[in-house]
Amino acid sequence: MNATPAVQLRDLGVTYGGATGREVLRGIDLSIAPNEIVCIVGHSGIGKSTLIRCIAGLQRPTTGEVLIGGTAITAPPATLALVSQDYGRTLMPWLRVGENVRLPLRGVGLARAVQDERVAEALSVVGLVEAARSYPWQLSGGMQQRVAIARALAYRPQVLLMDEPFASVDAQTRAELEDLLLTLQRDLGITVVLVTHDVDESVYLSDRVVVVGGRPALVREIVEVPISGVRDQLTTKADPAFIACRTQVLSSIQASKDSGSAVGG
Amino acid sequence: MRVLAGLRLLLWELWLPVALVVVWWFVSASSTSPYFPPLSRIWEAFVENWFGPSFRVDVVPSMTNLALGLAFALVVGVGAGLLLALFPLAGEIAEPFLQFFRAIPALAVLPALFILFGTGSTGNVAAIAFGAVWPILLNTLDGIRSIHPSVRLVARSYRIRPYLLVTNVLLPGAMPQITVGIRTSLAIGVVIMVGSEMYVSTAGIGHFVVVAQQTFALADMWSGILLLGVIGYALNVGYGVIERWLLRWQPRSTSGSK
Amino acid sequence: MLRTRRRQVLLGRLLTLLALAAGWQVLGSSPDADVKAVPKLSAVLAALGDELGTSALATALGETLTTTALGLVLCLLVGIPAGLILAAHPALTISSRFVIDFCRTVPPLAVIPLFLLLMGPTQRMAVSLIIAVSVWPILLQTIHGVRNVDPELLSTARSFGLPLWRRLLFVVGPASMPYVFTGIRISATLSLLLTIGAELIAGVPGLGKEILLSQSVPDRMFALITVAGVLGMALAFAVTAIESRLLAWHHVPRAAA
Repeated sequence: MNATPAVQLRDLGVTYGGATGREVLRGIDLSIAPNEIVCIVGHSGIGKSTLIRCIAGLQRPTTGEVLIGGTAITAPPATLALVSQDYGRTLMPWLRVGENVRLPLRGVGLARAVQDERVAEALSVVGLVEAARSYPWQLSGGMQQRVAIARALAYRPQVLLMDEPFASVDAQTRAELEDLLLTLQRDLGITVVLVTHDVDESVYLSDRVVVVGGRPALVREIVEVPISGVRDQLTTKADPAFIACRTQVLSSIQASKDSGSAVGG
Repeated sequence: MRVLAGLRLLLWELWLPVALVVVWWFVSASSTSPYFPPLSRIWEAFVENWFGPSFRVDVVPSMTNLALGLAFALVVGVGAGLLLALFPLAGEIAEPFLQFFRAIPALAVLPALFILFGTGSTGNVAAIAFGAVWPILLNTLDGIRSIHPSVRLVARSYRIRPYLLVTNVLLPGAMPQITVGIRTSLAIGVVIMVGSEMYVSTAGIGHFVVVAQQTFALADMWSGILLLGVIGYALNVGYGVIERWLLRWQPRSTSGSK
Repeated sequence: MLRTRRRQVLLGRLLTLLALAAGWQVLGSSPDADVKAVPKLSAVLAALGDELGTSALATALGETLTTTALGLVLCLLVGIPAGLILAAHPALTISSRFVIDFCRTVPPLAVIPLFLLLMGPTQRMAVSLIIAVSVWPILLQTIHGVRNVDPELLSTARSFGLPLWRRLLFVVGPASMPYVFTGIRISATLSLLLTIGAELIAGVPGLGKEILLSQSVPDRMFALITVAGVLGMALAFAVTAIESRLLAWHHVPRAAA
């Protein structure tokens, strides 16, 4: 990794409510290379959302810093797009699907024709060209989440940040969306940081799995996933390497839970 | 089949009003009470007045005042509500004052407003605007506040430009509540329009009704009351169309308001 | 952090109050011909102080309150049962829809001249006016409420073999309460507005009439208008308090209407 990391966290820590307050994250160090796909896993409620908000530039960490493309950020960076869990609340219900995808492209000096082109392209990538004139509520949950992904893609980010993106859709749709993400990541060459509590999902999608746990939450372990080539739901999940990784991640999460608040650092 | 069903529904809805009018017509036909003239005479007066000179003399000024007052209330209400929502501290500070102004029975302020703005039509417009501005303002403020934090977070993370944030996120997001506010304001506006014309005015439908009553021209008075009813109903139906257009992005539901 | 915020808000409100008061005082002292007739705040407060000691204000307030309360209670007594009946069968609901919609949208003050002829400037006239006008929101919301009771709830109640009056009291009643209360809130505001309107326009005894009579004494008039404002605020507050007590189980969306 000689290139500048796409995303770098340096000694990131967050404490709510002043010096005597509740420490949520401590000393998170993480470096993510361009084109890498990394999942951050951990129990719910250990501060994953806080971590996401820090990386997205929506919240200032108490200590340390976040670098996107080598620059420390203080506000949401233009090269990063966020897809979050509740698609129902992040698409604007009053805008048609096409306009939802277009909204972030407006007011930044892009010609209307360029915007149209990008919207059409993004919708075709997620297979929703026909839905452009529909309102979000007319689509199923999985389709709405695809719109949210299309919106992120049309934004042409270098980093795609995803907060439990597939948590609110059914299992079948979830598998489809996971594969869609893998295809897109391979074809478009973007860096993906995905937060999830689902261990299978994290191993299936990632080049590396980052296990976060404890109170305050620390990076417990970083597990490399040695599966090369195109992954698919059936064979990859039966691959012994996959199963080994999965066991390793699970036991690491388990260990972080057992260690509880007795954190040495 | 659909057309037939619609027709049947229409029949069910209309039989009672039609029956009531017919009953009124025949029962009142032989009425000798000065207070309840035959409907036929009221109808004659209605045609004579409102398809005649009184339309220009009374209906036009009333409607102009109402339109001006409501337009003013809409611009100020939405504008101020938006500003207060953008600066939460200011909004929180202002809230009890706004609640107080809304709670004042608007008619009680009429005399004061006519002192401030004179008894010309400016006074009427000011009164309508004063009564109508608060529901719109408070609903705009509340509507924007109740937009889900996730929506705002998305807008921030995509660095949506401020004017796009206002026009494409905040105002449409608050629209379901703004339309409720406008509906209330419309009703209040009509009440104050009539009230202010009855209180002190030289023209307008309310003025017409009061003069007709004082000169004992009771068929004329009834025709005025009927006209106000028709106007009230028409405004309500007309606004319903606008409201559906403003909220065209919402899934249609059949349930009523809560 | 929360404590400082709270302090900022209170301080801001105090400053706003002072600014409004100062603005009024300045407006009242202005030599500008247009606003000459607006009295100074100090004069209005003095008038208010004088007024509070007299029985005239107490009597007027009492009259306005009785009229409003009487009208509202009668609206409840008429509107809720009528709503229950009309909601009982779709044919009744649909048949009555147009008539209710029309009556509801007739500008309420339009009938004042007629009522004045029939009954003169009396409390009876004002109460009749309130019934004729304020009953519709309650009626309409009762119908909405009953028609929106979860059918699942009703069939559960029926399967337990609850008799009709028990079903009304324990299932339909509570389930439609949030809707009915929206109607009551609207009707209460409307009733006070109508009372003041009847007093101001038709000369029914009460606060509005006192305002009308004090037109030539701006100090007193503005003082009385302020009292009317406080009365409106108190009414809104009372209705909200009752509502949040009775509907503690229900998540009440913040006042919209």
